[in-house]
Amino acid sequence: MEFSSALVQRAKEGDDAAVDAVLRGLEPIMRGYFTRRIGHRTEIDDLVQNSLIRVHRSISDLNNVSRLQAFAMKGALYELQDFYRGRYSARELLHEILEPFGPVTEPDRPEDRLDLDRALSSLTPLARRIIELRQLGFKYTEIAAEVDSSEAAVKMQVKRAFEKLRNLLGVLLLLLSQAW
Amino acid sequence: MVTAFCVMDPTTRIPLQQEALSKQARSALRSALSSDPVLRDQTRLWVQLCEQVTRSVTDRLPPSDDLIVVALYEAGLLGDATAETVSHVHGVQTALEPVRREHLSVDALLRRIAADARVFQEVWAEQTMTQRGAHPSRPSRPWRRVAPPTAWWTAAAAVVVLAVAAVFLLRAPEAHHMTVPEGFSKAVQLADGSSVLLRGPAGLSWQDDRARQVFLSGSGFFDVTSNTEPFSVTTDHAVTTVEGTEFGVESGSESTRITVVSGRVRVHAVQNRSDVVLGAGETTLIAATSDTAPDVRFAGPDPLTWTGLFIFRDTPVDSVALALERAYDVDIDVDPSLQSETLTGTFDRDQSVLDILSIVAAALGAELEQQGDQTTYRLIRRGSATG
Repeated sequence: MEFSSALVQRAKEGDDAAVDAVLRGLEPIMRGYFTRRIGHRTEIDDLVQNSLIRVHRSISDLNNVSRLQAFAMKGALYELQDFYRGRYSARELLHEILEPFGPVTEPDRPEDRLDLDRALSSLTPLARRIIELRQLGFKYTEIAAEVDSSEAAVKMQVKRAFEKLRNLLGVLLLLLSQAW
Repeated sequence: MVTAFCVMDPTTRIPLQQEALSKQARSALRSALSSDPVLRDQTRLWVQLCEQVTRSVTDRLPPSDDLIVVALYEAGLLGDATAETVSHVHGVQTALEPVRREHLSVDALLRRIAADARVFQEVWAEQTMTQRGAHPSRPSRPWRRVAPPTAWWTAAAAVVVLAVAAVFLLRAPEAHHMTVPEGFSKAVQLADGSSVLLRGPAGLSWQDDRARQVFLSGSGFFDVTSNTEPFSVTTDHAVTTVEGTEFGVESGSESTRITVVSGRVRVHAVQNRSDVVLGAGETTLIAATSDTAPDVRFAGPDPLTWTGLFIFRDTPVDSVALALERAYDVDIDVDPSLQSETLTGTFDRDQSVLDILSIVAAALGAELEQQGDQTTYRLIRRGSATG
């Protein structure tokens, strides 16, 4: 399969067979790309399909038919950023588990809002940066490289941040008595 | 209660530091939360805190499309952008500047996008090169005996293909995925020296740190080097484990067939969790829905036709002749004094029967005679009188 300019031009003009040929040619490239980037994960199929749908929907807007690679790449990059953001976030890890006990929304009660503000202000700049990176989908090993530290030290920062939060809530003794 | 906490941090009791949660951990945490309202509030606040921190960055970021364009521009990957695009990028950069000053994570985000883009360009180059290969390429082995010049050309071509595959491996330090479209073949050499011939449509995946654990969709013929570490091929239905051998795996949506050419393999059926051991010349079919242990059967003559190869391993010469006769619809007469000889070699089925027989004759130290109709051949011992 070669993405000749003629083929891409026909796809751009809405020729169904050409669109199909372009998408079929892109599929293994997208699959290989996502697999290399994130490993063997069940989300690969969705990432590939979503990327191809983006190409399909916008190929008529392609200004320069010789730039299909860049065009397809942007679609794949867009999907990958979405994947990263959901990957390791607290939303993915804890949101679903908390769901049966009521949705996790912005605090309604003023005292809860105060707790959150106090917790936020208790974070050190480093802890805040680590949480930011984590929420943006960076792995702990990647965060360690970003902040020029070790993975263990990064994880310790997260733990300390949580302990501060727990202390702010004033339930430390209660929790410890239940946990041990 | 304590059991439920064992999978988590014993002091914080929620999985702050894990990349992902196992089913067991999820279940344990759900149980802990249901019985402990304080822990529930604490966890809820932690989630709110993390989301608040995230929003403090993401609410100030431009749309992903703009972020991607900025990342590509700053990494020099945008190519010949129009003046309009460059002007747009400068506008986004200006708006982004205060956010970058306050949040160093934004720079990390842009660097990651650029790294992602470079990998995309690599994969594009590899895959389009693979797809352009109009002629299937397959690994070839010289005969045990004398290999004539034609075999060396075949072997040299295979070496070139394998060398290209090796370059790709060196470039990609993480996960690898090789896809072969329908109608194409591709030879892949793995880091441990094992090689795979993929027959499209097929896909093969592996990771650098686990080079001897590969995942296959479609069909592949494996030539595995001996190693103390087992080599495994996983499909949807079966896990085939070996130490050093040659075998074919054909996987489809309903079943996987494993056929062994040499050595021994252990096959684990995913559905019913049973194992079978296959020796040379044996085959088994693992069905997606079967609840019974798989059978081991004699593979029969020429069971790996789908590979596009003739694979002979210590094969009697008359059996070699028979396989060629069937494939090319020719008659091959083998001198009785040669029939007890055995041969080991691999041939591309795209080669002509004359090419293959010439190599066979050279390997046996025999002579090849061809009759005028080009459908009848004779292998005779060198020096024998011809009739």
